[in-house]
Amino acid sequence: MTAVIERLYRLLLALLPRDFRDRFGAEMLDTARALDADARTPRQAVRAVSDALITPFALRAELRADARLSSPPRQVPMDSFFRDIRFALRALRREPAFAAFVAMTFALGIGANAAMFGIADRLLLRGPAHVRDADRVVRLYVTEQPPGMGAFTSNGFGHVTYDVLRRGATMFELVATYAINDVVAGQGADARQIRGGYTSADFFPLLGVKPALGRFYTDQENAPNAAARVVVLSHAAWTNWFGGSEEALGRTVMLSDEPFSVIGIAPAGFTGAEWGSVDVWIPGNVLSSRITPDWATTYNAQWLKIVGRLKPGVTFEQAGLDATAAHRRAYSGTDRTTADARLSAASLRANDAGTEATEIRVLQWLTGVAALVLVIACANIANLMLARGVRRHREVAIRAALGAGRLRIVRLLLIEAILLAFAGAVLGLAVAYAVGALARQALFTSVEWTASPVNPRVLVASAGFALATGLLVGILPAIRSSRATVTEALRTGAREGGGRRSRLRTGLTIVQAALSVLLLIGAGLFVRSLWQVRTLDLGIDPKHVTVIEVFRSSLLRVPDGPSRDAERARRRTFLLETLDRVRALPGVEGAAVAIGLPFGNRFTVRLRVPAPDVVPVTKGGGPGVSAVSSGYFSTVGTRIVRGRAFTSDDHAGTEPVAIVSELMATTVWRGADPIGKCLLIGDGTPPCARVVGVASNTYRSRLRESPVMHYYIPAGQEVGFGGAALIVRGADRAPQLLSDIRRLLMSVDTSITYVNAETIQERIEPQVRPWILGATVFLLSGLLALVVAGIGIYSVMSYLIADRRREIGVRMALGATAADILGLVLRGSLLMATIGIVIGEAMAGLLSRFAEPLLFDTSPRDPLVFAGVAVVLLAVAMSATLLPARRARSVNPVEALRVE
Amino acid sequence: MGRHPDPADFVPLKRDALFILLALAAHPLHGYGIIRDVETRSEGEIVLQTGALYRMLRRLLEDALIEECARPPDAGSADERRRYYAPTALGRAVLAAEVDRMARLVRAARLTADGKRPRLV
Repeated sequence: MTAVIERLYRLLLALLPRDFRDRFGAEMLDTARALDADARTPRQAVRAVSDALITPFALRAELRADARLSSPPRQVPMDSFFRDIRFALRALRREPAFAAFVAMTFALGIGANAAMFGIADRLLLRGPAHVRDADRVVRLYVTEQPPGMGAFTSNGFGHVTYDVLRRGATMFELVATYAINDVVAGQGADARQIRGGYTSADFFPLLGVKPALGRFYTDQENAPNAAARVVVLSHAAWTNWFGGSEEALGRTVMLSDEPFSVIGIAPAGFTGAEWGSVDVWIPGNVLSSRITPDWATTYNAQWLKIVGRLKPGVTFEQAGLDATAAHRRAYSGTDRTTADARLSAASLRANDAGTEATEIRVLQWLTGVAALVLVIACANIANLMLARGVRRHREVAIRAALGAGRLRIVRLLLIEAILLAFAGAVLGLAVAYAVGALARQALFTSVEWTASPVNPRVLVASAGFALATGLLVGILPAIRSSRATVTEALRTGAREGGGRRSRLRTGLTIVQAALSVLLLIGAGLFVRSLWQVRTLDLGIDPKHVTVIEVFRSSLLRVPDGPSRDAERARRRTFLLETLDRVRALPGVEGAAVAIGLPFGNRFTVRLRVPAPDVVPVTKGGGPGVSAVSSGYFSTVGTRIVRGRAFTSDDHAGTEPVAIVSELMATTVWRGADPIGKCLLIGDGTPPCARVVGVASNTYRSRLRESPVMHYYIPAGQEVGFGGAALIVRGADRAPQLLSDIRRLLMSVDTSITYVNAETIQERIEPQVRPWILGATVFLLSGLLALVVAGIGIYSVMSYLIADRRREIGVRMALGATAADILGLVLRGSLLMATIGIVIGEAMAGLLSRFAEPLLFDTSPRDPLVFAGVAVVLLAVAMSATLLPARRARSVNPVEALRVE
Repeated sequence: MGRHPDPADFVPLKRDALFILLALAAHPLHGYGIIRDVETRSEGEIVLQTGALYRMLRRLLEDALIEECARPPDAGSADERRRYYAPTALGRAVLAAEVDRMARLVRAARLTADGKRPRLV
């Protein structure tokens, strides 16, 4: 035998089952060798070779056939496992409708959960992309308590605190700062607003991120007052602007009208310490020097967020105490509030106020809903499986009679359930993709997503869900079915003693009904909230009012001295002076200038009112102030309820006047006529501003805020605050109108680099999103659950009626009318529904108070919602029963009695 | 289980099994020896493939119709590593039963050839 053939033969022997090869392999080789050696004729030689090469293949097939025929005790466990899978597949193929329905139900449940896992994985489990050991990275917060006010927590810091912590705190490996600001990129018509991350140089090593190309900036490049104009581009910006070319390094980009040279590219998906996209990373001190001249030492300006990496084993509490101690040691000023400030550390998941970010809360609700959907799906499937177990009762009994052990039967049935769950999981991936993509787009817009909604981790999670749910829904029906006794089952026509089984199925249906009630009540509460929000009187007309803000090149580019002062003054009055030209544009129904607008106003100025000599403090703080031009009230749609609005005769230098909100009028003067009263604004010295009108109440910054007193002064009379915006009322937010305004402004003032326009409605919309979200999610899953519960009731009732045909036949033979029978059936189904409603509403009553902070002007036990849901469920139960009931009514007593 | 296996349970034998038992009944043989013996015995008609041979050997071993045995004294030195097989008592009984069955079969066939139809029960 040639060496080649011998080697081949050895190789082919590997095809044979291990035990066989071990026992006979050497002998076979030996025999083949002998055969070859003894070949006398060419025919024998050919035969020897072909024998050697074909034998292993033929033998493999034959040995497998042997294995199938041999008796169970000699069987390898895996073999019988695969055999069970084949059996299960065959059984499922016989009932394709059942298999498809169950797989689809699994798909919905598993898909929804896989989608949620994909989101939770990024937001809860792993932290922002590219952050190493995210659980050791913390955000820092400061809690202050100004005299006479409540404690207030924020994450705004000045540079001085960063310095103090970097030098004085011992529990941190590193401390870094960042600030995310809008930046104007490009110039002229190409200018657009992008997101810039201004960070200290240690920000990147702290997070543990490595650049995709080039490098991050150094401490030297972030020198105080002399920061280098260098920029690290996000991967996306690099791709968009430079097509991902390495030549981007060293090139120049214009940011806020200054040239920055590109030194590095961040890895794809890197978003810093938060989840929102950032386009460019810039040395933080580029920004610092624009804040205030004493930025490095002042405690009065807070524009930075601070993150720290804890030393191993340090808890958040220890870190907070350490940071507080460092702050107090270093502070030498006299301000008690600052001296007593407490610092604390929280995870990256926390929001600006140190509590859980909205995204996290939303996610928790979504996860809860997804889990409920899965539970409902499981209850439904278990129910179907039990029903199928009844149908297969005889098959199982026959198997048992043929010697299959109980364990074997349970295993077989379990494998069926798990197979269905896996089929569902595969379908569920499509669901997960759709739901995940939708949720990301609609609900988690502020998060920059890089991985696909279905990624390897989601796949693994789905497989886990499938296995768990398959076992969960399969185990009980499998055990029940396997309990068949041969003689009982094989008796012709014998119905299984259904009592206990149908009780279990009824129970599962009640669970489904209860959970649907729970979800529907959630839906109802959120829909009510959304309705309340939408019909809220905002005191303005947000849909038709566009806010136009202008961005300009830095004042620092104008030489210091008189020319810079002149430029500053020109900029301050520019919009007021351009107002008439804006009003003259076609399509403009009204225009005004305002400093401080509803849903975005944070200005307060010291205020005294001479007559009562004290301004009552309201819970929401304030009073707020804004400076507005003539035409403001008619433009934004705020009603003047008494007195007059400002006219073009109210401006800088004329008699100080003011308009107060209704709330302020009633709070300060308690029923007395506010017109003509005096407000001492600012340092409290006369002249006072005379109240000339009362305007309807508006909102300061949030839809959900305690009412805040507010007053208006004419634009030009403001002292100590600024930042004017142009507001325009147009037919619709016509693109033509906006581009006309843009062109007008930029042609009149060449220092304008960018004009931003959005309606007030667009400013409010993010605040409305939680209710839209809640209403959508709960409504969709609630309806889904309702359908599933309806099917559950239908199948249980059908089954019960089939089971009770004989009883119904007897009753009819004894004179029961069709109406009696209908009543009998309906009573059963409505009883199930009612129990479901009671349980569901009780659960909702307990749980909904947790939803209270998410609701808007809606009681978490809103009787209308609770009653409405009960009616809906009863209606569904009723209609799900109609078909089975009609079948019951048409039972022919003679036939029914004869069947047995 | 536990009861003595009945040779009648194993007949009819497969053709290969019959020839292997016939070969081994004369004297113990190793695999290659069996192939040669069967080929001669069947006048060149049955040429066992090695795979088929060992598959059948395994069956026969499992059913305890043959067993491994010591190397016969007349074996050549080249055969040192080879395993030899011989029929068990059960194997011989099965072989006898099979041969007996075939003999009756042949008798029955002859009767038909003589024109006297065998009576079927």
